[in-house]
Amino acid sequence: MRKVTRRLLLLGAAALLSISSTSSRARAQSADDDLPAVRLSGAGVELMKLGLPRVEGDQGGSTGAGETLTKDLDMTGLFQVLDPSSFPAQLQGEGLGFSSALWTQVGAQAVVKMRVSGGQVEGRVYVVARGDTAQLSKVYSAADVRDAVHQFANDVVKSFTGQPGIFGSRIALALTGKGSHEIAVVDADGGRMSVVTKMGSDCLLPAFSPSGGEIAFTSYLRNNPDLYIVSAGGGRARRTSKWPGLNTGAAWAPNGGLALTLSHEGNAELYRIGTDGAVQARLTSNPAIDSSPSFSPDGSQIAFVSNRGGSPQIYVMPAGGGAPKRVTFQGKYNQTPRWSPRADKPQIAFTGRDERGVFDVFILDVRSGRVDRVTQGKGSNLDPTWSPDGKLLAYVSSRGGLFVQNPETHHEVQVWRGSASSPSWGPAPKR
Amino acid sequence: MVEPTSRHGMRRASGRGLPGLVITIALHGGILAAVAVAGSKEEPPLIVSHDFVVAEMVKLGKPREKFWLPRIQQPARAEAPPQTLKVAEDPNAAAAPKEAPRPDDPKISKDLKRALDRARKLEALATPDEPDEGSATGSKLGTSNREIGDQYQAQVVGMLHQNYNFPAGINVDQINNPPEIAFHIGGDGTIADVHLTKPSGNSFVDDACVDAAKLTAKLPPPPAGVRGMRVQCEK
Repeated sequence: MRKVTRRLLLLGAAALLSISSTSSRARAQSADDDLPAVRLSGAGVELMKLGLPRVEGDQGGSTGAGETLTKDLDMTGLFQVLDPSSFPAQLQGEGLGFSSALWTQVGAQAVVKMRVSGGQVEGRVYVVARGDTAQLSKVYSAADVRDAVHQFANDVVKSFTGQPGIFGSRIALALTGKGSHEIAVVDADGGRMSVVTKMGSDCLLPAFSPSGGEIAFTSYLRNNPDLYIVSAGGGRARRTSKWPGLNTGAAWAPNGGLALTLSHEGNAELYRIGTDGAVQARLTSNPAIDSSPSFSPDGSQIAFVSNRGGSPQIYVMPAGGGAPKRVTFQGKYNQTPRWSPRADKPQIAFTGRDERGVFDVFILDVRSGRVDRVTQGKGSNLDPTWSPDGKLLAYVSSRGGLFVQNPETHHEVQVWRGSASSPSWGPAPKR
Repeated sequence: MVEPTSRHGMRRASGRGLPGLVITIALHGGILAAVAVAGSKEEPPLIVSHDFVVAEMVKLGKPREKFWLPRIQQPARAEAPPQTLKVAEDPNAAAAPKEAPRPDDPKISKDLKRALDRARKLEALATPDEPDEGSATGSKLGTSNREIGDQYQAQVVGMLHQNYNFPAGINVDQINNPPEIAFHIGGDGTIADVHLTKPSGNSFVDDACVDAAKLTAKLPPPPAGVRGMRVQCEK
């Protein structure tokens, strides 16, 4: 009886307390509601501080695994990779284990660990705020350790953003400067460059096919700018379009065939051709020069450059031809449009010449017409190409070589040194 | 009637009184609950809650030509704190750093000369930043090219904006409910009692909103009648 009584007493007191706290919360809520309200938008972006301790089994960088992982994760523009020389010895000798308390002291928000043994790579991802349990723990095997590291880097990106990275994809380039002017292919991180043509003449404007198996490009091999297609792995190039005059600036349609500029009828116009070179349709008909086509991800629209308004500007028209609509109105010289592969975010990257005569990379939001600048104050930067996930842009620069930038964070990395033009980023690696 | 005096007797007496006490507490609790429920169903409050206003302050600077390509907005520059001690007067100051080698110095090595030449070329490529662009009547805290909203609220938004950062890679497009915070503003502008009033469901995003207020710490002294602020944090 006494127990029951005590319980009843406690229940009564709890009911009173609950009523009192509910009413005080309600009062506080009501007090907050009375405050003037403002909306904060346009948040900046902070890179996540990432600890990347030395890779086990990669003493002295012998396998290149540590360097590859660091470059991959730096390239994403999502992380600020902390300097490993600042880590105390205790952390360096931690192995694949993890102590969140220790990593907090060096300011890391997340830690990525890797061990290389034989052809295998074992990777772990820890988030300091989530304790000592690994958020990702996986073993990767590949013939080349670089490929295994790229697979791990893709999973690291996925563990933070929900979408895998693009490592393992490749970028085609037209080599310029001294030496050969052939078409080359490099890994997205600038590694493993290979020349895929042996034309012995100027080659330009490469374009990766949607499957990644072929590259279309223009060459002056027969003293006319003809269109060729070569296997992405190298081999004999096939002359595909050989009309007198221009056969340049080819873009692969997502649903088959190509669009390019031909001038055999007197003026530079856009045409649709098959992979056998047969003309399927003439897309533009205008006394102005029309060039640089780029398909929207669903293949329904084409962005291109035309000087029909007096100066080179970006226009958009239906992929089957039709009335073009001008989409850039700022700047007097806009060229090389590249439609983002992201269907949910229609954007066109392009090269623009600003009021001081400097070429830089810009992004046009197709829906709003808003133009944002990607590069600024670092020489001339041109010929943008989107990564297969539409998160990164690669472009060439007067600083020499190929650069990759995350336009959201403006984090830029030089991935390849050399002289090249017109990069074309191939499709995502097969998973 | 004689009251029982023994300890046993007293315990028995209080044992008999307890159920009555419990009933009394329960009844009072019920009455209080009824009053609270009735109070909560009262007529709408006299002060209607304010809708969110978008307050932006135009950046101080020269207006940019409408048909020029845009430039990347530079963050507002913080003013340098007043110098309290001149380095030259500080007896504990470290020795001045060595002067950098000059490319025309015949004593330097070829490699160093080449490196200096390359650095000079890269520096020449880097275009110096132009002065900020905006409006001649703008504010150093301004971030926008248009000035709208209440002057004090725009100042608050401008100051919070400087500390408002999302972690990179968070897909903010997937956040349907922007978080909301509230805080009090002291007479001298000090921010206090920062609390999350509406969570977004993503702790990174909620933290970014709370941190914007906590890191700002102090605002200009508020005008009369303003004792706090509600802030909805969008992407």
